[in-house]
Amino acid sequence: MNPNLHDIDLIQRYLDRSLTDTEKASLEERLKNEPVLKTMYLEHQQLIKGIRYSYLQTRLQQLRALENSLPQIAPVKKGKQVWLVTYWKQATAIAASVALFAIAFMLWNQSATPQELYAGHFKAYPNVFEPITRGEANPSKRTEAFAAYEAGNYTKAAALFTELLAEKEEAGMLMLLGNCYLVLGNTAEARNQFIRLINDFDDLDNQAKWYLGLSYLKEGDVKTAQLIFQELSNSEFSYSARARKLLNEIR
Amino acid sequence: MTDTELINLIKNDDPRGMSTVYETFRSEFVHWIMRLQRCGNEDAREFYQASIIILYDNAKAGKLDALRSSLKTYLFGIGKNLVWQRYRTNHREQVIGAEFYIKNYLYEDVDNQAAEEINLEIISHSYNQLGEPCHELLGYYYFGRKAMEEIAALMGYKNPETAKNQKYKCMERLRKMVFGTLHSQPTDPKPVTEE
Repeated sequence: MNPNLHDIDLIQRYLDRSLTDTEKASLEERLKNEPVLKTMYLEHQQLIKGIRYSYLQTRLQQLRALENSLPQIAPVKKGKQVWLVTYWKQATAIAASVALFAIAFMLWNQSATPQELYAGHFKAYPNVFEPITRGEANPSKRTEAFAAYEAGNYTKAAALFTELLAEKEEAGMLMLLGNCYLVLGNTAEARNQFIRLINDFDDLDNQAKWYLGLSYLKEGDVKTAQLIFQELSNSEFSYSARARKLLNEIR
Repeated sequence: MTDTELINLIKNDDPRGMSTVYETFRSEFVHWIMRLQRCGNEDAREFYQASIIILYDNAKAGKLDALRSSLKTYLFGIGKNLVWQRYRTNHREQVIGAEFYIKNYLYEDVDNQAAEEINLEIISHSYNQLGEPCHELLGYYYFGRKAMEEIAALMGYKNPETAKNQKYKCMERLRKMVFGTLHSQPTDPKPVTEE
């Protein structure tokens, strides 16, 4: 064995805590007395941390993309309020608020069609499923599919996801394919993907229901959309607040 | 989904694991940090993202396999540690990105001497420039924590020993890119191919 390879192997096993007591004592002694070996050890340790950091950074970017797709976190409700206005001022303020709300609601109700509501609430689900490394010489079909989705080339992404899903069904791909079809205006195909996702997998149910509801809204089927958003609004998931908001706008 | 199922999804690198955990505890965690740290929503979200990343890394390392508390308690425990870390800095008034906490987490078990010189950004950048098969192989080993037998099977090497030799060459190549010198010249590092 190459002597350096042997030493690196020892260092690696030392870091993995898999050396025997004798091997460990011997290596620690050598690290005290051999500066070259000590440098090799320190550098090796740093390189491993750097490799791990690279992956954690990629995961962090995925989390940030996910965060951007989620509704704002609602402020905490305060348990006790100190009212400084007198009763009649409160009553006037409440009455004014109610009137303003009613006017705003009527105006909104007159102008917002289901399609407009859809447009106001639809945001394509981010690719949190597959990190994309740019500039690969020979990207796989899979990489091309996710890259096309991220680039907003939904026609290409849909075609590639369909081919890939024929080979193996994956929850993330179904979610993104459904989103592709929503963007492309094919609501029936979009729904097929979300329903497959809800039926065949357990983990993206709330997200799939949200987009399923939006697909009905886009078609103008407000009643079905309402039923789905009602179900979502009763869940404890972060989509419930979003669904409640949309339900208020539909009513 | 149970905590064990979520941990297994994370360990298997199934992205549903991390996103489900993220969405489940997000609102409660962010409100809790905002109260504890008296900070804004943006700052609290950076705490949260760093905590999720640390939980993720620990799950990958198998540290959650025999978890006695709930996943939620564990996650909030990480958050509490990060708050203590923040108290020790002089930047209490400004928003600090999640990268700060993640780097501190990686420094934790590093030899002090190395920690002073470490530059994770440079190493991470060099690693991403490394090309294949080195990028994949080192990723499987150091991040995926896969055994050489598994890596040999995944990457089509003759046996684990060949994969190990290849890993050595890749690490030497990365070492050269980062530190500029090799301790020896085992073979011509370019291109790195199977023996």
